[in-house]
Amino acid sequence: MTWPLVRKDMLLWLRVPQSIMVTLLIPIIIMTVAMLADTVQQQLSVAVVDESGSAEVITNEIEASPYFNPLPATGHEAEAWLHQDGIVAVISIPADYSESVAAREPVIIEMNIRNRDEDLTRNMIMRLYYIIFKANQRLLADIPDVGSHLIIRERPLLPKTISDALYLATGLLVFTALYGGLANTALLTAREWDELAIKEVLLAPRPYYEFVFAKILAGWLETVISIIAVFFFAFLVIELRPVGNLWLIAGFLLLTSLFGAAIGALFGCAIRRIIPAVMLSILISVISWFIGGGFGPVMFTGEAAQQIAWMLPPTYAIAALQQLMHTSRLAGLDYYALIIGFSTVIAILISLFACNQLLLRRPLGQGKE
Amino acid sequence: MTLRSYAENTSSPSLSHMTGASFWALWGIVVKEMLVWVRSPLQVVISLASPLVLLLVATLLFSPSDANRIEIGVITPANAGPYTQKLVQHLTAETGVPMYFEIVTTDPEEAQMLFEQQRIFAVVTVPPDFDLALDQGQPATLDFQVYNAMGDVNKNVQMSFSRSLLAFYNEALPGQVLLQPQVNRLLPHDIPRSGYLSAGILIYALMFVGILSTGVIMTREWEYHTLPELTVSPTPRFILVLSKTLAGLLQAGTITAVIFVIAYFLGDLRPAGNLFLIVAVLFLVGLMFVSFGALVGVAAKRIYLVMPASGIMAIVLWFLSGGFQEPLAVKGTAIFTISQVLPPTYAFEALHKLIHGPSLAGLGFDLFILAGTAIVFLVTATLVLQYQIGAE
Repeated sequence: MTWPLVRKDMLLWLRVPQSIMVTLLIPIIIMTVAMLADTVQQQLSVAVVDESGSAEVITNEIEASPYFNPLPATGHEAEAWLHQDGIVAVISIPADYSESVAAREPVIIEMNIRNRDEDLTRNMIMRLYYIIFKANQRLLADIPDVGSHLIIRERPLLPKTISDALYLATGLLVFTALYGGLANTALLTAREWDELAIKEVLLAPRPYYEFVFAKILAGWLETVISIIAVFFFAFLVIELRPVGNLWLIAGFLLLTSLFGAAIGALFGCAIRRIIPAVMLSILISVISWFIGGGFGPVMFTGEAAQQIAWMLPPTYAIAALQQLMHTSRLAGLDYYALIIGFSTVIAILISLFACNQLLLRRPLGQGKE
Repeated sequence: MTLRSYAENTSSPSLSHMTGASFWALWGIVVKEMLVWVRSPLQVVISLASPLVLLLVATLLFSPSDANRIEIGVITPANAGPYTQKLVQHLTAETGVPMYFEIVTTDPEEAQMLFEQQRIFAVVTVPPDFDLALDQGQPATLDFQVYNAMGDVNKNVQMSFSRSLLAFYNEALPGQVLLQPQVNRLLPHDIPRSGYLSAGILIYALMFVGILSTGVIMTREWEYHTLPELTVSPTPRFILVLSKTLAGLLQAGTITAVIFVIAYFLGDLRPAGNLFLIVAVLFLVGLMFVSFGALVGVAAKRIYLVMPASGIMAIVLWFLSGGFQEPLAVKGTAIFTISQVLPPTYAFEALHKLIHGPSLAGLGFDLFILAGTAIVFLVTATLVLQYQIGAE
């Protein structure tokens, strides 16, 4: 019964291109948005008013910084832009800049900020500190016999900072595995009730768990195809180039999708309606992706969010994939693999048992009988 | 007589046919769709859960909070002098806006291990001759190892480090401070992040539930094979589409009202502007999205296509149009250009102006875009429905 059911579900899936798009669309669209977002390099638009006309050290620093999109302006222009919602902030350099620097007197660099969004305000203030510190260091370096000052020797962990787009693309591969597993399996399981075919399936002289296992297998196979498609999209468009072992990357993705497929079958058996089963799958996978470090490292969130995140298996899959995609380090991967592997086995066992019980107790409930 | 010819003979899409009978047909369809919705508790729960979860997740994860710490390791020499002590003090100071550093270890081996396991963001190593060099008027080198596995996180760490060092300079080496920052704010108070996100999530609720509900209402005619009955009805097509969009609008409005109450009591949503104007704008925004939902529904004809489509569109539009961050922040970039051609951008703009200020300049233009888009979607949905019926 297993293979004929798997074959039937695969054929149904392949014959309806829209159903393939269901699992491909979300990760591909988010990746495209991430790529677009990355082109801006987190640059915030500010007007720069240099009343001195000679503050090249600061204006060059702002220009070179990946954090600003500077728009040179006069004081009046900048004020008008700020009040007309044309820019986020105005950075003003006073007219006596050169004289003050020559006399080693502190120059006040003013920022007028449009504080409608607390996060943006905080970001702008922090960016100002960053620029001021960098420019101050540059000015000190140009002064002979400057005396006591700090020299920062920066040593990044990776030879090149991973862009937000690449980070997001890596997490989205795990999202594709989890979401695809959940949604595909939930859909093709619930479809049996929604399309009134469950009676025929259950009348087959085979144990119910075979039916559940076939659904898990079919959903998982569909998801594998989705993962390959999304990976190629990320490879070609986002330029995601795995540094670590490809087999390990594939292993983590396959385990995650199997984990998703097991839970998806349970959703399908329990809910028995396509709409809520798929919606629940979307909800669960989006939350797991957000909390599990898909949108940013887990350790960047609050303590409570971190504790929740490390209770969810997808968090380990995202951590493993981030490590494998961008480094060749293997340390800690065995622990991640153990967690995901164990969770997958448990999820399959629970799914088989719970679905079997649900089918025995109420084979035709919920859906349109 | 074929279904098509019967439908052509018995109905007309013209608005002029909206008689008393049409009104009762419209009312009947709205009541029927609302009853179906109320009897589908799972759909109601999902409609409510999506904006609610987004509100909670976005507020929890993306609000600058005193609870958010950047965990680092700081290695100091055994005989730490006053300069080193001041540096450590400034690295952990909680002054100004978050993000703050939190030193989780001062042990060199543990720091290195945590850093390599990517459990801490940075390691600052103060060399043994740090105090001596500064005492003698010499430059002192600080070693700064940083976790650069994501651009945005790297930026936050770098900025927090710069602020700490600038504060250190101010206290320990005031003669070397040549530039000093000063920040002036346009509004008397910062709008809390949760308040900004809450306002945007009202639009998200209208967007997601509007597209989903109306899309499902439309596709149900195909899914449940009730389209033939609909096509032979003497009710004009436009009234059919209008009644279904009104039902969708009621559903989206109900969910948005619940989200509004939750955001008011749990979040920092405090509308400063005229409440009637806010409700009017939300009505217009809702009308635009339910009209779009009707178009999606008649084009897709399948519920399982409408569901992910509504989810994807709502979340992407929320990001691009200013739900997560003002598009203004990225002016001059591709994202900003895209946001300016997306009608939801004007929905977010209008609502933020009304809720947070500082002025209502440009509100008329925003409303014009919203109303125009709603009419275009409504008319297009009617035409597509007409085409689909003809093609049956």
